[in-house]
Amino acid sequence: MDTLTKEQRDILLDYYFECANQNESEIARGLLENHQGAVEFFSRLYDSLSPLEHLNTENDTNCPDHLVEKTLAGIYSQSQSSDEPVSVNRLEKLLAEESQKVATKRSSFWKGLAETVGVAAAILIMSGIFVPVSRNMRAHAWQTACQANLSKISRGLTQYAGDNQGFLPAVATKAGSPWWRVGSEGQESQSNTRHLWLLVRNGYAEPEAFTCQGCARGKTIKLDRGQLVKLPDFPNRRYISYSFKLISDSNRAAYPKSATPLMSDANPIFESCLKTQTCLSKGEFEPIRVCEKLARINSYNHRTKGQNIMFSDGAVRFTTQRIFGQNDDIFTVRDLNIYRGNEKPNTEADIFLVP
Amino acid sequence: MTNSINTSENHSNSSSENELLRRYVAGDKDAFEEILTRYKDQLYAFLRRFLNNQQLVEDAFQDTFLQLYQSRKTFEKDKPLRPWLFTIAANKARDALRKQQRHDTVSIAAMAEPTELSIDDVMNSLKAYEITPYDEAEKTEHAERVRRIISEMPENLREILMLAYFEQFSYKQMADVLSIPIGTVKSRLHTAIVFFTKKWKSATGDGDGKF
Repeated sequence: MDTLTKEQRDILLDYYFECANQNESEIARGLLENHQGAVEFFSRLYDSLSPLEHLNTENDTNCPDHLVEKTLAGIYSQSQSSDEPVSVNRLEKLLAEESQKVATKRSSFWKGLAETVGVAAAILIMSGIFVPVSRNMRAHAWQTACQANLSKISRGLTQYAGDNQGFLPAVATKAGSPWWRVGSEGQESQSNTRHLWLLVRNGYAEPEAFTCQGCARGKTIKLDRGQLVKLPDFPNRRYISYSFKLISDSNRAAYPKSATPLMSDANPIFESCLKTQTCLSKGEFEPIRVCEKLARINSYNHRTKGQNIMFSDGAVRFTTQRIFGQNDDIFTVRDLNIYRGNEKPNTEADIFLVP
Repeated sequence: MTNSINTSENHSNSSSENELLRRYVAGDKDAFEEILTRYKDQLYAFLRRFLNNQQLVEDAFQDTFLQLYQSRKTFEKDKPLRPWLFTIAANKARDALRKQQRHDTVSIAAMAEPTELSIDDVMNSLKAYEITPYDEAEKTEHAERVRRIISEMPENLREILMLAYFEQFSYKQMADVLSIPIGTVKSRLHTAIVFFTKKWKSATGDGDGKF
């Protein structure tokens, strides 16, 4: 963060508040892709101001109808007494018309329902048009910064594979181990994040790259290298907001030759259960059934708008797609509907990104 | 392809707004009501965040649209409506706060011009305070704290933060809305960020929260 010039900081701040011009925006995006200090500055700015989102509740942003009515009534009564005469009190006229409609026209339940649905749809459409697009550009910036993270990790993975006979980083893990237990200090390798920790421990990737800027729970590790190498895993889920291809049994998964998904923004299916720290002491979490919603939802890192996915050819794409290859959902095991945190795919072609 | 579609949509939106403004200036009440419908939620949200007092919000909201209605003859219809509307709303909100402060005999220190800070101060503030990221699980608990910090913020910092963070006005637009130079907009925004960061950290645990 210290290596940023004053001008660069200004540009990043302007970009954050969407006050940057096109040229400055390009510079900001370039910095966020290539400059760790810029990513850190941006991330801290985001963390510092994101509590303001608490002022974005429905109560805060939806003007109540009674206020609109009072406002119109006040304006029209003022204008009646001013130089411009108003022939009819419009509000009263509208209210009278409305009450007549209620008495005479709402003849059936289905018609009432259709009207209600129509009004709801109209409100939704109006909201979509008129509610300010306040977070769109900011969300785009997180996506870009997140892509930069995954690109860095991808380079680390490639280098690691190059130094290790073409194999992905892997520690001894048995099938059926709780792949979700991030930060467990037991000697027996468990969490699927322990494989990725090898990249950090051996200097192939910086720990900051494993925290997605869009992830609300994300946190950056503040340890020196001496302390990092002593850890067996990421300290806890806050320090890694990505999911990685599940590796177990063979413990020497070859780096895929064809372009297949290796890593992505955090798998959304297990987000809720992994928030509960009490389940960390157990080998399983409470069973999760993959309902229709969970089968479609995108990662929470980017507010379910989509997820960045890193492929083994080094490409990183932001997409709403979860299905790749031969109808393979990257967030589930094929033909499995209930999860307890120790599942494993039966074939190499069935990609399962966890936790 | 996408850009040309967006440009065409923007052009179309801008044309329809121009037509709406033309009708509003001509005294068409339907056009005025359409403007109210269009901007009511944005204005209401701005006033809620700024004033955090329902009675003041409602008064300022009604006064804003009353002034909009009454001043249609002097409105320059070639200018964008939104910044003008927020200029009125910000003035009404300030008036409402001053009235309340006279009534409540609140210390005038809350209105004092604070020291205006630079981007370096923002940088130092971000580095000095470890901020716990926004967490859905702690939503209710934190919402009240945020409201309290915002209500303690000097009004000139509060309005700049609201306009920049939620309304996404450009520096030029904020300068116009608040009738201050662009340089002052930037330094006030820096000050507002540092203020909020320190107070938030103080409210949630570490840091002394001094400002």
